[in-house]
Amino acid sequence: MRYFAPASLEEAINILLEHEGAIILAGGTDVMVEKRSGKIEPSAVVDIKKLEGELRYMRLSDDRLEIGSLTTITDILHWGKLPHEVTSLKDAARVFGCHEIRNRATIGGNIAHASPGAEFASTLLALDATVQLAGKDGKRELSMEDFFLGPGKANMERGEVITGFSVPLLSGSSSCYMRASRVDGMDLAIINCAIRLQDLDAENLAVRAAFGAVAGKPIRIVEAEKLLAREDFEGVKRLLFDTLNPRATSLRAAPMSKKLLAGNLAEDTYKIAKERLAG
Amino acid sequence: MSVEIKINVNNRDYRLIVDEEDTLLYVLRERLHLTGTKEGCGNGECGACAVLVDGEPVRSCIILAAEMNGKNIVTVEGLSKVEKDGTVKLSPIQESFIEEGAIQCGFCTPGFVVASSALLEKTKDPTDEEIEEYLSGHLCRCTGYATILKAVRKAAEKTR
Repeated sequence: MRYFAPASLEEAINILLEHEGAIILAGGTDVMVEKRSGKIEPSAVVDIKKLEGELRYMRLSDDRLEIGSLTTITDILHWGKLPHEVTSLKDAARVFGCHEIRNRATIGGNIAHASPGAEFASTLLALDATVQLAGKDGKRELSMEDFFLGPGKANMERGEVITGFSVPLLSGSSSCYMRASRVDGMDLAIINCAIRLQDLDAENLAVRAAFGAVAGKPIRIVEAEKLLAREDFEGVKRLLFDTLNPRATSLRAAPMSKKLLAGNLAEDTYKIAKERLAG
Repeated sequence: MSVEIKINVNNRDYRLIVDEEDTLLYVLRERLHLTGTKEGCGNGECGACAVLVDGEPVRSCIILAAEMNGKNIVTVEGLSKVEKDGTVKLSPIQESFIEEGAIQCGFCTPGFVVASSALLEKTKDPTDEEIEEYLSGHLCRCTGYATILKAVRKAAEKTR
């Protein structure tokens, strides 16, 4: 395995294109674990941490939050200016791994890995974020829905690098992320749920609800959103129990447990988001 | 293939040729013979391999040595000081672990000690909740957590 530490994005893209089987290394908390366990055998790792000057940022602009791909989970957790509309990002950061993992892991890596239960996958999906990619033909931007293709599979071409995320900040909105896990610290989600609420008028709420580790990729469930908007929690539980078809290969819980858990988690997540909406 | 790195470990500068695949943990243990840092799970879950990189605790088993060029690293050996007369002066956190008997088999101890010392650099008066949260990624399979908590609290008192 070769090791490269390019000093520019262009150089990183070129190395990725020149070396078939090369993989991007950011914090390494997924890549190194999978390499050491033999799950992946990269021909080269392209360490992009020299690009921190360019890709490690959180900025507020024009009703959007821009997050650079090399922003660490610790950066997100401790950023004092995180707008209240996107508190779900802090929820996700708080339960992510442990202190040492959060110091290294990056939001770009968490998304690029395309794990169905990744903390920031459902979170960014519910927040209607877009992912920004740079490659040899320039830049492109995708919705989170279009980005995830399946377990470990993302809509990325060879030679592409995630540069950042753009999150809309809707007026009169709130969000929450919750997960079910066996222990609080250093665990992965059995399933997770992220919800964004927006006040439309005195009586109507717009709901976006995303679920992780209930399918091969993080998914939005539009029917559940409609039931949540009416606060029909029994309806949500029935719907998710009847329609979810979690993979039997999950390490953390049987499909039946996940089907039973999903509606309860959705209710809890919705209620916290609603409280936050009230301020 | 190999790569040259310059690192500072426990206040000593090193210039090393390392294999591109070597982990930081491997280089610390096998090249610099700093065997205080342990390999537990080998995939970043247990915390036995914690070291400080530029003052922040990280897991040396899932970091490549090649990534460390130009970094300052502190291992458990670097927490104590050797006085002019050759005697070793332990850090408050090391003393407290001994005094409280916060050890059973000892394998997790270097990781706990290194991470706790980073916590006490940041907060002189951590709450139990803060200590638990900060150390939540460290596993003690003898389940000696109560004495570990006590030791960290005691070290905090000593450093105040």
